[in-house]
Amino acid sequence: MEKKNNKSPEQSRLRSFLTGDKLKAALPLIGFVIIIVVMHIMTNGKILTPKKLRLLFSQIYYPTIVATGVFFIMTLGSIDFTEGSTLGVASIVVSVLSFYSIPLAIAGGILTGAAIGAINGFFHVKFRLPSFIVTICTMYLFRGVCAYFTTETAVPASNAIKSLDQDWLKITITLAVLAVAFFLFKFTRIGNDVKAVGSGETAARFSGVRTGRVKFLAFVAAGALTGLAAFVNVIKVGSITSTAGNQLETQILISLVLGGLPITGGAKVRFSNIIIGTLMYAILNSGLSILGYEPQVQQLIKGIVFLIFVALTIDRKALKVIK
Amino acid sequence: MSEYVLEMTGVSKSFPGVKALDDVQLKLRPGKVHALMGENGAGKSTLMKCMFGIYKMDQGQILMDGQPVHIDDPMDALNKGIAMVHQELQPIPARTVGENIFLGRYPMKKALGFIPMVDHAKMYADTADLLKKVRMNFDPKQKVGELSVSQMQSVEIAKAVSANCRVLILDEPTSSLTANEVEALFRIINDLKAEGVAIVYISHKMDEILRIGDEVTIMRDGRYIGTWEASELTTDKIITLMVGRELTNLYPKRENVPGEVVFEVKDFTSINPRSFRNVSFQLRKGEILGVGGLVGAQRTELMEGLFGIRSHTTGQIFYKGKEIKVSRPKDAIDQGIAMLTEDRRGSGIMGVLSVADNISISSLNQYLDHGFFINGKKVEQLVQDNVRKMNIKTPSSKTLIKSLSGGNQQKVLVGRWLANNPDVLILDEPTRGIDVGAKYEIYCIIAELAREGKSIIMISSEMSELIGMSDRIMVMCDGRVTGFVEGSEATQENIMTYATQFA
Repeated sequence: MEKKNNKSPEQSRLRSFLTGDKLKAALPLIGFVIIIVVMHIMTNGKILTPKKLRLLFSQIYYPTIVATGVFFIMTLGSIDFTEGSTLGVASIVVSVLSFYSIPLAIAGGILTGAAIGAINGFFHVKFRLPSFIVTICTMYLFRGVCAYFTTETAVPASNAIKSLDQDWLKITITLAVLAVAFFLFKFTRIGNDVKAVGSGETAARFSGVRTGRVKFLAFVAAGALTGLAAFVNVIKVGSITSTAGNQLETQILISLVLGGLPITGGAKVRFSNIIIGTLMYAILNSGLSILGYEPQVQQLIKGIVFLIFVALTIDRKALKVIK
Repeated sequence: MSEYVLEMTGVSKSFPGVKALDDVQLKLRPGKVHALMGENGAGKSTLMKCMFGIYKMDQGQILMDGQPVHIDDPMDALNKGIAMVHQELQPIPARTVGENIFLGRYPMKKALGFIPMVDHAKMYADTADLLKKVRMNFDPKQKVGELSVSQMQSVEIAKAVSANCRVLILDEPTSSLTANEVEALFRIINDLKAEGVAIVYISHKMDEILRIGDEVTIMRDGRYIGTWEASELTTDKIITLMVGRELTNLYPKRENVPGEVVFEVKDFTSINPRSFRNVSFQLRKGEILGVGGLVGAQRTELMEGLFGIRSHTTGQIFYKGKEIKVSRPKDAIDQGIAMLTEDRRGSGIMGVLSVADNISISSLNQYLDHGFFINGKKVEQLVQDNVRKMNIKTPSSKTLIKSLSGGNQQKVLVGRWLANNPDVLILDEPTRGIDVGAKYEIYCIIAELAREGKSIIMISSEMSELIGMSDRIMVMCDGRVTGFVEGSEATQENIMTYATQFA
């Protein structure tokens, strides 16, 4: 007698649907519609007014840029927790350099981010540390650097850079990043190598992919994108305090998972995960503020939504291979 | 009272695509050593895993003392008095000998009359008794990680003894022991025999079997061949029984003509002292060089060393007369060497990527426009060429490779390597886990490649495949090359003799 299998057929069918690939694939879109409808009803339609939409979009420019970099890292099957602290440190660099020249400020931000990414990549690849461990350590480290420069007073940015705070510029930068990343991901050797590592690192290495170099470069690129996002952040906020970029890493992770990216990463990702995810997060976020919840309560609700999505979308077979 | 302590009869077990066991039987008498023999893949381990409750039998029954029993899992097997010492020992190195032996069933006591606690004093006293029983005199509190392999094995046996086992399964117990350690193991086995324990002894080593075995059961291709008294058997007779099968029309006719030497390896030695050492061989143009040996002969490790996956200390590789340096797979690939790995799932396919992605990965630079953008049309052309040439069955080039059958996956991987137009192909168990029809197609592809002048190194653990496909066979044992056999002169007996040279 099969003692262990005491579930009814209905139960096991429900179970196979809930854990099946079809539901997982459809979940981001279902969730997207549900969140819009729920927020629309709960806020009596206030969320879909032009003014609110403009505000909503203004929240997603720099997270989208950052999420694009993290997307590549998660495609590798790795993870990155340093976005927030990188954004903080790079924003300080951008602000300070903005008094000399705007192009210099942009370059400085990107180089700062790339350098931090290179540190992450170096320890991840050369010392074979899991990216999870490395980036938690460096997150702590660079959060400290950020606090060191902002403890006395906030770091101000020049008026020249603040005058760039216009929607068209931020939209252009964001769309350009998405477009370039999309082409790299879909149509080039770089994207192919990243997906190959995410799908099977050993197989990729045995097929001649320089897996170590691919991983290192992905971390550098993700850092550089966060540095670019720091520029977009500075033109919006104007001065940098110690909380700059605080918990950005969690926000990005929630966004990508809401967008349907499995939290274990790997080559099953889709590029649309970035766009759907950041939009869903922004709608959830502004809906909760319109409803007048305290920030603490907002965080609690977002945490619950995150937990539910992770539980529904996680790829249990991949659990042992987070790198 | 039955004369057998344990009987397995009519045991069948299938895995997807493979019938691993077909109506197999095994009958164990108390106080006897029963040797279980067969080639790699004959089903010995599967049978033992059925007995030990790791696998569920599809058909068949197990009787203990004449009464039918069900064995649900290893815990259940242990409770019924069946213990197994695995080939790969699985101790917990950072814990003590006593803790390893009593893992999961620590002796308990009640502190203050009600708080359950582990009774360490009793545990270590019992461990000391058990170690005496297996003639070992090390400290029960010593960390297992500090012991030698043979001592670890004694700990495993002590663990089995502590469960008051009546049936003890030893899976290749001497594969990593020195001669003195083997003697010590045999003394323990004799002690256990005297206590009436039935022992199943799995080994490839003929001299051991004939020395320690009382009865011998031989299996082949998942089937039961027969059981004999060990005294009736000789090494030659066992080998013939193990491998004896007809070889007709299983392999395509080969028309390749080996030419000049293109690839040569001299004194190649691993950085791992237990792995391959002092390996030298030559490979000629258009030659199929078979590589034979038992599990653990380090054949795969040698090939991985040549392909830049594993490091070596000394040794040279010559390719077309020039010495080449290989420190990562890409170096070997750039030279024109390809390697189809043994572990298709682990190191071959990239499961969640498409057939097109999988087939193009090694040669992608050929399909780039302006050295940057992947030209989808060229990749599609590559896929279609291979689909036609090798009869790959796939719904489309966008299909995920993991949804194809094993044989078709393997053809995609062969296509991956051929796209680079290599001159040397290393094929590690190219037909493992592939059904018979697809196997023949793979053989045809190999024969055709050799005819075109490509040099092939083919590792195989299937004797008939080695003999049926190779121009020459290199046999390895214990990390060393023990002999070469010309394909025309190859027999299962002479390969087996080289393969067990140091055994």
